[in-house]
Amino acid sequence: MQHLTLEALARLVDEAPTPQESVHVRDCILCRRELEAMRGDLAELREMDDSDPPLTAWADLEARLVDEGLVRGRAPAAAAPFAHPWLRAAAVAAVFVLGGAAGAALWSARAGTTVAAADGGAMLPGASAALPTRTVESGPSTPPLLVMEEPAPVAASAGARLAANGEARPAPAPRRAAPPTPAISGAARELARAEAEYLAALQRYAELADPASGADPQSRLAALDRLVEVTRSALDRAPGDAAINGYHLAAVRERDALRRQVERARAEENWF
Amino acid sequence: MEDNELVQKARLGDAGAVRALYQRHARRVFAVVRRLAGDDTLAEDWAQEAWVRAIRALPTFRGDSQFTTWLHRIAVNSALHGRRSRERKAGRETVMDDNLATRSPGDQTVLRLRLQKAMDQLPEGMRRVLVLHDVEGYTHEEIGEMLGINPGTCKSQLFKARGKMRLLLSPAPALEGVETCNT
Repeated sequence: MQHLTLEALARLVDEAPTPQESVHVRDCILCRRELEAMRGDLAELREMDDSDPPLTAWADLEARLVDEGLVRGRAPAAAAPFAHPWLRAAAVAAVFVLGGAAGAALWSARAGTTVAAADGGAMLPGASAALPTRTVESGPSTPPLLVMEEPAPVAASAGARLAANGEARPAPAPRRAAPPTPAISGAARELARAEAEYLAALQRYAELADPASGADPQSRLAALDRLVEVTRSALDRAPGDAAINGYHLAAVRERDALRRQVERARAEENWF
Repeated sequence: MEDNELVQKARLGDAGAVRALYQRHARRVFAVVRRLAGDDTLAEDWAQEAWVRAIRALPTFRGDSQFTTWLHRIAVNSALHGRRSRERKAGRETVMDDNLATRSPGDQTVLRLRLQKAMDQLPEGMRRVLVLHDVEGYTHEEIGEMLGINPGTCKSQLFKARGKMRLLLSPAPALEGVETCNT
């Protein structure tokens, strides 16, 4: 008997099979597997997350609404540079330390485990058996982040001081502990460095993206290129990490949107 | 502040109220437009068009339905009737970083990106039906009305779209090249 066509299988995703089709699907592992795969595709499609428009979308829309007389004046500027959901979520402390695979291993409730800070000082990671944490819903398009209630113990770098809700907070005093094992301290140092680089790049981009800054598109593009580079580098350290994957993809998307905007503006200038 | 209160203010040209509505619903609007457009550049244009149409039409919003439902319909219509004034760019360097696809194949983020990329590659008619039915949850009758086709044609397009998606998502589908089975 011939296999069922893909269209026939697609119909069976949400319609009842004929008696012959029912027997075939029951007995044919290939058709049954394809049908199950299609049902899986449908389930994923139904759960697809919403996506963020480019950061510049509101500014462009507002300008048009003002031109057309649909609004009076401009809306008050966003108070914080991290107004965009993914920027705000990504600025939370320990985004790499807890999100990264290496970081997760470090925090796996090993009492007395030490973490080497970016500056080489040794610190305890807090109450390793019961770290005070909370889950931050960073938005539908990014997975929830597990955030420490206290600033990250590796917060020795300037970039990491931007931790916790986008506000500058002083780094906690390091507590002396036994020297860390080389493997753990090396991984922690790398992750801490990646986190600091990421937060610094993010802060730089957020400053330039603020309409009040007056920054030109090329400067913003350069800042986004840096963000993409840093997140890609972080992925080398933690390739399976969903949070870092998400931030990298968001940065790539934002950069591509800005590139298109710059190209469009250039094309309009050179229309002749 | 509830949507209806913001709408009242936005009708009077209050930029802050319009911005608040935008911040609340921009992701939803962009998502549905992006899926229908199959292209980032078009999605940006059409999403902006959707918002402009919605703000223009605010005086006609009576509150019989939820603002989200009303706005969603405007976004869908904008995407379905959007003019392709810009050339679509194929093979752009964008979200599908190849390194990610090989690094974490089981990751939900990558899977959903693959779904989006596959949808982008569907012929426009198939993509519209798939997005409206399987992603956005419209019925065949509603889709038929939106697209000017009968529900039977809509179903047929949907089944073709699902089959094509399977081919795009699976480089070597189990049934390809295997004509018969033992049953």
